[in-house]
Amino acid sequence: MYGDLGNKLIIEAKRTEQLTQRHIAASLNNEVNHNGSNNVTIPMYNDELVNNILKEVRQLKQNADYFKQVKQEQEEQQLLDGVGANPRNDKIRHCQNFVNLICLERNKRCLMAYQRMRSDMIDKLIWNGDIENNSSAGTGTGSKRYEYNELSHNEQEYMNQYKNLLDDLNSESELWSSVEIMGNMNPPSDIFIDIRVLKDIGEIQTEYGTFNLVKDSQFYVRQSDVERLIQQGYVQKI
Amino acid sequence: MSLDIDDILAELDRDTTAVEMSSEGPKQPGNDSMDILNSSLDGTKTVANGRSTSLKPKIISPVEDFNKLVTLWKNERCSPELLPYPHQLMRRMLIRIEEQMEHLEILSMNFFEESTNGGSSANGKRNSNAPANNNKMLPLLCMEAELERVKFVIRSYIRCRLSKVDKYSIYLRQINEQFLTEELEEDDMDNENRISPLETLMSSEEIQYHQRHFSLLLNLLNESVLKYMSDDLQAINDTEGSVNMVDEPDWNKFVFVKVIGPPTGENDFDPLLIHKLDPERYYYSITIPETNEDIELIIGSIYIVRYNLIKDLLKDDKIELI
Repeated sequence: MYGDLGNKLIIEAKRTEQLTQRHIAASLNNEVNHNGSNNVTIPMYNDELVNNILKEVRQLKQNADYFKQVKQEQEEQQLLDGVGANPRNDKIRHCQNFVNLICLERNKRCLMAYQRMRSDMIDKLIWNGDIENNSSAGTGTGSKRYEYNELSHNEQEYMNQYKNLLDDLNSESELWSSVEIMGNMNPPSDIFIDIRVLKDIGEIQTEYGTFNLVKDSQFYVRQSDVERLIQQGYVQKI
Repeated sequence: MSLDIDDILAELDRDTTAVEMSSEGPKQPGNDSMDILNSSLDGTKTVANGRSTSLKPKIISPVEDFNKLVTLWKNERCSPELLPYPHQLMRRMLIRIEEQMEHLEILSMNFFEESTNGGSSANGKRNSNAPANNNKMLPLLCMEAELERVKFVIRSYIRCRLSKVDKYSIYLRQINEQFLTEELEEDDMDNENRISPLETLMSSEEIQYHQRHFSLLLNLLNESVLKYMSDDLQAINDTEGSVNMVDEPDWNKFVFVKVIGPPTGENDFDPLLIHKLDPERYYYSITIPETNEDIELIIGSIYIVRYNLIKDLLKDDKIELI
């Protein structure tokens, strides 16, 4: 039936949203593992379902054209015959046309909602700084590109452009960069924190001296110095 | 010569509770350790007082600015709509943050030099164990903590605004388009002096963000959905179809408000404020249209009301959201 596929898509979107919310709630409750970024995971783009809905849309469009044609023919016929419109036929035609139109509109809304939900998730992903550690960064021309298998081609494009947009604004705006707009959204409590190094990084230079960050070692460092490393998953707050 | 930690803490306690700003700015740090301590303590005083410092006292004190910022931050987080952007305040905050960062850098450089030269730690890699245990570090740490907090408030404030910009992006565009069409119709000479509503509502960064993000999003939707639709279903801001497609702020959202009265504190000069005796009280009167009921918003009290009723009072800073 028309609209069933749209329903399926919306149910999937809703489920994703709920899962993400639960994920965030869980990571908030579980303070131990909480290191600032709650990893948002995007499910696979449902290519098949979307394509089927688009097929349905094409079908509906053809129907609409057909109804229009029938209407025209009937009107011409009526003109030729010189008889008034048949109210019963009229009603049926109207009804068919209306249902058809509603289905079209509904499918459009479902697709738009699905896409919007995914783009919102992509936004969140970028703001959390998750994309750098989860994606295989391919080297494109000029700026760095991020590849995600879960995203459709258009979404990839969107993600890269949005990332560029934020980078641009960040470097242009003094205010944004001085308050570290992409920074941690938890209220700061301690300046110094204990960290454990998860991957070899090498030496980093801070105001308080140089640290040689070797895997599995622990340090007591200033939080703002290692904020980026925490976001990128190189070190862990303990 | 060493200072007792309790002294420093007591000093800090006093400072955070003090309201007025100390007129004396931090001294230039010298070479000797006592000097550095003094100057960093002075610095702490200004930070603790104002949460941000300016080296010279200004007409608008940092304390006021910080309090204002916190109020704006709370309002923004509680209100359903995007509130006007405080252009001047943010400019001042930025200057202060930068000054304070520079100041801190100088202080810590001197401190660092002094401690390495003084031989309190033989190798240069001190502090990797426990810098906070060091008494002399404490004022510096407090200043840094304060700076981090100010930065957090601003960060949180801007992020909150950006999320609203995203949420209502079509709605905001419509406000702008409405304005532009009015502009065309009026066609006056002094048109150039008029600023668009978006410019007062948002900072230049936010406007840019809004426009560019919107075009990206539109592009995405066009490519993946809209281009498959028939011509009459291409719109994304259709308000006449079955369901309104434009997300508007929920004007009827219930909010908690605290009535604070006119910002100047002069109750008698506010025309909206009603003064009644027996018992003596100052209040704003608002009417709930559905029930035709009048409410007295008495200064100093807390109410739960629908947002659209108190929108104007909020914009005049006469109430704040909590």
